[in-house]
Amino acid sequence: MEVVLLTIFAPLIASLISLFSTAEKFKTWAVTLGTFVSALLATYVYMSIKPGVYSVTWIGSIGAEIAVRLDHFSLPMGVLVAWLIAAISLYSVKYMEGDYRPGWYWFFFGFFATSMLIIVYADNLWFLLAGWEGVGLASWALIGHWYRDEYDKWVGKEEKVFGVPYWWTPSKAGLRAILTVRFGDSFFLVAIALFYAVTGTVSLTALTHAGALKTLGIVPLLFFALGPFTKSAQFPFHEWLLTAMTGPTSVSALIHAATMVKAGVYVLIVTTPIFLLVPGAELYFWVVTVVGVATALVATIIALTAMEFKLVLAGSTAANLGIIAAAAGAAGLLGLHEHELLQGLLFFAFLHIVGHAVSKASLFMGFGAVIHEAGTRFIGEVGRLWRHMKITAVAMSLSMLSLVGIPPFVGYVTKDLALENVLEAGHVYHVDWLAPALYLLLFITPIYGLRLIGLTFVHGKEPKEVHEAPLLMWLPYTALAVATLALGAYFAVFVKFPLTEALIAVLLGFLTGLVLYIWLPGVRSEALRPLWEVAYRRFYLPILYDGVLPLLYLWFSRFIYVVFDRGLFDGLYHNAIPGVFETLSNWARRLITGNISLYVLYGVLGILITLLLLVVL
Amino acid sequence: MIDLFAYLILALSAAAVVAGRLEGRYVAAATSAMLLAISAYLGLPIGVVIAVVALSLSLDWRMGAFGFALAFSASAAVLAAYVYYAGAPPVYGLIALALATAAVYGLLAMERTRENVEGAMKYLVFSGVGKVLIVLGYALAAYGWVQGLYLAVLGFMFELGIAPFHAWVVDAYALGSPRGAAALAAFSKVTALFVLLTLFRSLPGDGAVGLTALVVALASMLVANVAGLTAKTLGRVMAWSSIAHMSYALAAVALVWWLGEPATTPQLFGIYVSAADLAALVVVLEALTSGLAKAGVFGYLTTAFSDLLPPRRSALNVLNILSLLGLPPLLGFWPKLFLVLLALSYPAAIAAFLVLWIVVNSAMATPYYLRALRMVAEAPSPIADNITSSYTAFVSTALGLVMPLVAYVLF
Amino acid sequence: MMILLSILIPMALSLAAYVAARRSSYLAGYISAIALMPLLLISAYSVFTGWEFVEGSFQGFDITAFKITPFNGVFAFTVALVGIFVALYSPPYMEHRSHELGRDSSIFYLTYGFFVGGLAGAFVAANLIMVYVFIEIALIASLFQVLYYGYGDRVRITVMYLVWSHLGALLVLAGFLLLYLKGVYYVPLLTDLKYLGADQTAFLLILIGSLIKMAALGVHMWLPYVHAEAPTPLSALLSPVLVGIGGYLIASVAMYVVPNAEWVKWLVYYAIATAIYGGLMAFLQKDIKRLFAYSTVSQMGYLLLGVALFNPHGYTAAALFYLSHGLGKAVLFMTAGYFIMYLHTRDVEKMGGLYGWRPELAGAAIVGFLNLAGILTVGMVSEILLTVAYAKYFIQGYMYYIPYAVVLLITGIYAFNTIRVVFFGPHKREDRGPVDIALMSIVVVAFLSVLLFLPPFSSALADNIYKTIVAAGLWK
Repeated sequence: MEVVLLTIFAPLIASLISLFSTAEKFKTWAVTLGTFVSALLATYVYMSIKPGVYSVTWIGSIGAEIAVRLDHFSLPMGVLVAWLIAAISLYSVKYMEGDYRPGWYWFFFGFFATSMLIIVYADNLWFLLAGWEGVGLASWALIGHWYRDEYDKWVGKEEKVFGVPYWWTPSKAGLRAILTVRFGDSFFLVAIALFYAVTGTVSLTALTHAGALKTLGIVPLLFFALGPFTKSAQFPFHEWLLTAMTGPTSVSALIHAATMVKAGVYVLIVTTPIFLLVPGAELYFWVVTVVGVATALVATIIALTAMEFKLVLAGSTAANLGIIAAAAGAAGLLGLHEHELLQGLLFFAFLHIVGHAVSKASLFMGFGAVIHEAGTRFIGEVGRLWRHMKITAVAMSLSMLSLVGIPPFVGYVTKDLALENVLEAGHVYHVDWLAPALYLLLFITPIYGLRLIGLTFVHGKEPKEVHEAPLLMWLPYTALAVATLALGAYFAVFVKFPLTEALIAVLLGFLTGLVLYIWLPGVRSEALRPLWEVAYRRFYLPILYDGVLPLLYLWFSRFIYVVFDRGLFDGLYHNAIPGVFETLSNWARRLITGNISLYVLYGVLGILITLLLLVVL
Repeated sequence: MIDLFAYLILALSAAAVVAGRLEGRYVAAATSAMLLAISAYLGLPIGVVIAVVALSLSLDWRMGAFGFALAFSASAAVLAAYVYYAGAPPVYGLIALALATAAVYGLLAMERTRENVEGAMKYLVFSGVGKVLIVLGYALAAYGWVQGLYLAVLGFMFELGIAPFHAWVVDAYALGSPRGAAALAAFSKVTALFVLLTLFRSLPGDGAVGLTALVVALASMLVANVAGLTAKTLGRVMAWSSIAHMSYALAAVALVWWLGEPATTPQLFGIYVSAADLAALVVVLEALTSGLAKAGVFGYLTTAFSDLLPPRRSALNVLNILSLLGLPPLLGFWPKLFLVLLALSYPAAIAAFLVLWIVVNSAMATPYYLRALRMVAEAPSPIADNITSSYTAFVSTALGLVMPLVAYVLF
Repeated sequence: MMILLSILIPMALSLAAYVAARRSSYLAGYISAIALMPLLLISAYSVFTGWEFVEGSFQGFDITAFKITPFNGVFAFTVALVGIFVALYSPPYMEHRSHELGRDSSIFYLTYGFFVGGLAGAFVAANLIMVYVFIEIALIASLFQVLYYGYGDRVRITVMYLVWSHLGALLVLAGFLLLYLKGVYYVPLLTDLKYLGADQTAFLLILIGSLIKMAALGVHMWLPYVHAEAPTPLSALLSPVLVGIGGYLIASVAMYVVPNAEWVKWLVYYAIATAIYGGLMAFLQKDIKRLFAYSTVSQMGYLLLGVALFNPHGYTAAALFYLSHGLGKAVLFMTAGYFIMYLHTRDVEKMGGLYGWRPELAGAAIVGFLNLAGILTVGMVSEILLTVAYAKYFIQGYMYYIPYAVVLLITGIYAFNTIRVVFFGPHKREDRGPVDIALMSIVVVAFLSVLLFLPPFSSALADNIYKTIVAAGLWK
């Protein structure tokens, strides 16, 4: 227990220590050391601590415990997360050198790591919620890290579409992220509270056997799912993830590979056995599956048309998250029928978290180096970088092949296993459109991958002075790139090497991409331009999030403000009532004229009134 | 023991012969001291409190011949209190009332300015009418005529300045000399209220008269509090405040006249008391609150009349004004509390209405008390607190603090 | 005598502070802070160990009856804690303000002890009449501070404050007296009394009076003006600490005579409406103090909701909201005061990029906002408890969860939007905010609000309050 807690909290402790010094070097190495300690401990935990649930009470009245659950999900996930964080931390040492806000960065880095590790190991949902809110907060902080909103940190160019600004400064992107997440979290919180109110426990292990869950319907499950959906950037909440690219690239790597977004799908996976108990779970799993597939498709298309390095990668993250979510949902669907299969199928979904994380971490760090060295964030402004950054080019190509799912890289194995879940579910439930949709997805994926590689490293205009990234930077991502291959082989041998018709779609896509972007320097077709425009504008969803919703909110509150606050309440309490009293008061006061004969008249009137009262009453 | 007062007043009258030769403040001080002694001897705490007001006024100001007037008016107030507590014949109370009126008339006009005389004259006229009605009404009522009570109540409305018979109060406070206004509040009104209590105890109640009086009193407190909102000078604010306070007092008595003893006996600090006693307590405390605080406020003004802004600052009068506002734990809080308690012992609908009415009135009064407070606290330095304002502020605070104990003593 | 003394000491020492303030505001501030230590110790001991302090006989009408249980202890604890740090914070601010006004700060320190002592007294006094008396003492003391050190049209604001607060207090008193007639002399929650039976009139009187005090929707009109124009150290106390009295009174008195479940239900709706309304209005404000004032309205909606849900979790949540909002809003108002001192503006639009101006301040203010939004501070504990209470109340009525989630979202919107507008964006200033005792106080309060979220503290807090409430047994 103590070791696990130390694993979880080592980065945070390091972060807190880092606050006590103003020296950048100290902060950097303190937190990096913390993350490495955590990674080593996670490995130790994986190797030598007996699986099970360990807990101490936190707040008895709400069943909150500080409980860790060591099982076949949390143990490998812990190792993965901790090591990725450590690698990214090492990379940041150089990447963030000389930054204007090191204190903020390093504090939230460690904080982020701890929050994510809480989610990974937590058995108690309240404890998990603490980590959950923590990753939300940390992502907000780090996405908006460059708070001065300089142009080169933006996403998008300074242009408007239908009057809505289509560029995102770091602070705005941070706001978008936290508010989207906050929306989901509100419902997530409500759902957990409901579970507690109904079952009296929020322990994941205890909930698996909680019969009282049967009294719940599907609605609480959907409330719950909104949490993971927003966190994992599932359609239609994927927008924040795309603009989250305003953060430092190391942060993007952190968010996309190891923390935050993975938290959502991870929670979807570990809660699936619980939700099987709830009547109406089938609909819930369908929702998860369909949302996942939709996210994957939408995000893949966005990735295909994006004009910024990181945006391509972000789109691809959303796509893979969609696949994981869909796989988890499908596992649930299949588990409804054959309960014993469930854990295996869920493990396939889980594996893709690993596969994707390794590839994506490497890619982000690599392209971070590219952006760092080339000084631009737009595709097409630099090219032929393989001449200057050989190591990076190779590493990126390897990682990209893994990401887009080319055998024998790890990406292929895990993605295919995950998609098999979905295909199987479509088959069992006779949903015919699923398979074609997935094949389309698999077909497009290699194209955007090769597009990015081609336009960056192979073709394009050559810059004058670009150097290879320093050792501390390229070491982590190259190591990870090699790991994609090694892990692929490992999984193929020890888990399963899938061989299905899906491979055909992938290879077709790969060939198309190869021709279009590696062999040719890319194609531009005017006929396709309107379609491209729609995808490039991300299906105009930002208009909803940055235009319509804020305006509606603003107008609605203005309306309330003007009509009720200013009009009714101010008008009534600060104008009407005082006005009436002032008038009355002046009137009553002016009766006192000083003229004694008038006073006598009042007296006489008064006597008459009292007489009248006496008679009437 | 009433003869003690008779001797005192006779001695004063005899000394009046040398009025021109003697500085009146010494006479007033001596009389107050004697009153103090008499009250102490008779076990009359109210008398002590009132006598010291007169003492401090006489120590603070040169009174000239009007020292006698001060002495008379203080004697009248103590006498009235004694009549009530000792159960002496009500006639003595009426005598005290007459004595007070004449004396306060003189005090109001003491600076001899045109304004003083005008204010004093209005007081004399309306108070005189009131007195006639009271005497007449009492006589009739004692004879057994129901209308007598009505006349007496009408008389008290004049005497206390209940709207719509309130016009003179404003002029008397604003135009009379500040010392006169202090005496008016601390002695004349206190006398009148004790006489009211005496009659309240000795005359049988009448529902219709009670209800009439209650309605008028409720209307009067509203008029006073509304009108006070825009009053501009210290004297006028105090005038409206006085009208409101007298209305609270009358309302308490009228309520008991109207409904008699309630089914559920009200309780005070856990002890059961009759409604009549509670109403009497309200009246006494209201008289003290208004009298003490206003004596303090007017007692430090150096101007010839009070329809002006105070020329000097006072810190202690802040307490007096807060007491008038009815803030706990100051004295002024308790009569309102007891009035509400009294109302609450009657049937729910009546109680709720009365309580709401009183609460709204109290809350409504806050702006003008705040204005008065700023007038005294923000006037030019240095602080001009004197014995009167110190004493009254002290008593207003101390009595309020120990009220849970004092309540027993006052019965 | 211990409790009574702990309340009287701040009042007594305020005289010393008054004298000291003529020489140095700092000295006066330290005296005011030290004077609150006994109260802090007693209440903290009660809250964190679950011990109950009882004074007085509780026989007949005993005005010296005082009691501290973890439930009302947490209120007193908040008063003392915030009071201490605001006192430490105040000297630079009051010097700045005195300089502007050409008047020394002695009146501020004279009334400060009475204000804080009165507030604490209202929470720990068991006798109903004494509760009222303490409320009025606090009211009058704070009145002078607004009158002498406020901004804008001070006199008008003071009148507004006095009239509405006084009206609220008097209505509460009238309700108390109705209970008094039934022989209920003490705050029911602090005695062995259980549900007293329906009493519509008393309930309404106390409820409406308390709602005016806590500035709930419809009777909130005075709060944005008063809290915006009050001198900022006072705002830092008024806003979180004073207005919460209403919630306490409803919880500990009014709910004992609530007529029936239908009333409770409407109170829940009303609380949600208040929370939403305050949040929407806060979003629109350009004056940072008005923004925080409306945010208080919203937070009072939360507090009221906790009480209205009428179950042990809700009550616990309400008490903890008082604490979390107290700390959070104190940080924010003190931050606003820091801006007033060194930026000379309250206009949000003139701010921006202030993170670089003083990062520690930004960090503390962010923690303040997190308290409001219920993220990883003691605010999160109260938010979780509130949500559990909500779930226990509505169970399967899933429709009702949507407005609740909306409340949380709206709070998040104004909180994070304000952070962005004030602290992020391009730099507008070259200089740096100075480091002084004001800044330290802000940072320490922010730190404490995080500390109280961590296990030994949050466990003790939540569980002791919960146990007290369950033992009080308002629910059969």
